[in-house]
Amino acid sequence: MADTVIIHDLPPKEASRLLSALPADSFVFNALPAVNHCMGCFDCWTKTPGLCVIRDRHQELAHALAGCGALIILSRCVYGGLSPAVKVAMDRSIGYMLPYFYLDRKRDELHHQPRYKERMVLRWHLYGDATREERRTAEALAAANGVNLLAKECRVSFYPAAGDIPPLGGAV
Amino acid sequence: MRLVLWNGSPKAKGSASAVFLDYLAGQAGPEHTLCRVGGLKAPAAADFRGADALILAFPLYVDGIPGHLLGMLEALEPDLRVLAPEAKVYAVINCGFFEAGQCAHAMELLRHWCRRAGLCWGRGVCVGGGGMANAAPLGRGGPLSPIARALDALAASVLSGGLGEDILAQPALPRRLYVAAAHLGWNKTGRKNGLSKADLCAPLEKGAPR
Repeated sequence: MADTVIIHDLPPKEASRLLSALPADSFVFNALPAVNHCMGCFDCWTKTPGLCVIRDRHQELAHALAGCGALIILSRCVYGGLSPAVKVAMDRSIGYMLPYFYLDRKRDELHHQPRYKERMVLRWHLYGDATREERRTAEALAAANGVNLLAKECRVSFYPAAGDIPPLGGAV
Repeated sequence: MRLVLWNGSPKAKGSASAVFLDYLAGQAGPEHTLCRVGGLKAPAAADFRGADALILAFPLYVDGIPGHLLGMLEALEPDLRVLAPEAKVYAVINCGFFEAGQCAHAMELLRHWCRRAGLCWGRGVCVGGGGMANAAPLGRGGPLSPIARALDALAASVLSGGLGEDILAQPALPRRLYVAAAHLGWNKTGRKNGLSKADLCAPLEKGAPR
């Protein structure tokens, strides 16, 4: 099992600098070039449970996410969220959850029941130009993702550029 | 007025976004020019030339804007302030969760896009229980009447060129009934595909790409 899953859209130079000293059980998914996008068919819930029916390299990511201990996202910050390529990879990953709802009583909201018993740590490293308002949105958005992924911990960090992100070895 | 109605759903047919845009289009009289864009094809920048209003409808994907639509929005960002400097942006975001408020983060992302594109934000409607859009008529008296009322208010803002507070709208029925209906629906679709509930809940093999 890949205990740590990394999804990124880093330029090649920054990718090799940041991702060269990762633990051996890490799985790295380069979101670029972008994979096919979600078609909204929900077959990942009702036909091939847990796996998107579009047969491309995203299927490796779905298997890596299965029961992973950490999901680390390194993405350009776009309007206070993830970049289009990273977002497409996340959109295709909803099979990580079940279609069935549960009621989160603390938040008084429905969320999807978990497919896996393991609980991940979710980390967002966002780089690039972001206003204060966009950062606030990103923090709230990552927290909402954390709730929907039933993450046990969720943190967001911001960097002016990809070159400012420290090597991940320790951060993972 | 020239109104651009943009369906941001990737579904070719049967999307809730199309239902809501059709409803809004029905509120506009013949004196208005409607331009419909969207689906899988990225709109051309020229589609927005001289627009008075851009009305964007899309489903919530992982708390945000669907990735393919986000890419289209980002690509259009530099052109719109030139092509449609007067345009106000309105949005209808729907989610499968019952609570409309879960669309609020995506609405914020869209407002940030609007600011960077140099456009004026008009108003948004967050719709919960979007899975019901095709299950009941969108009109007065039925369970979707709160959504119809919200869209009426949005249409009034659009057609007057006005701004307004965002509106949260979800079906008028108990949440537990919505959940029960959704679960029955997933089970039924699974059975059609030859899968039991246990099959639908099965984990993928860990870390073993096929």
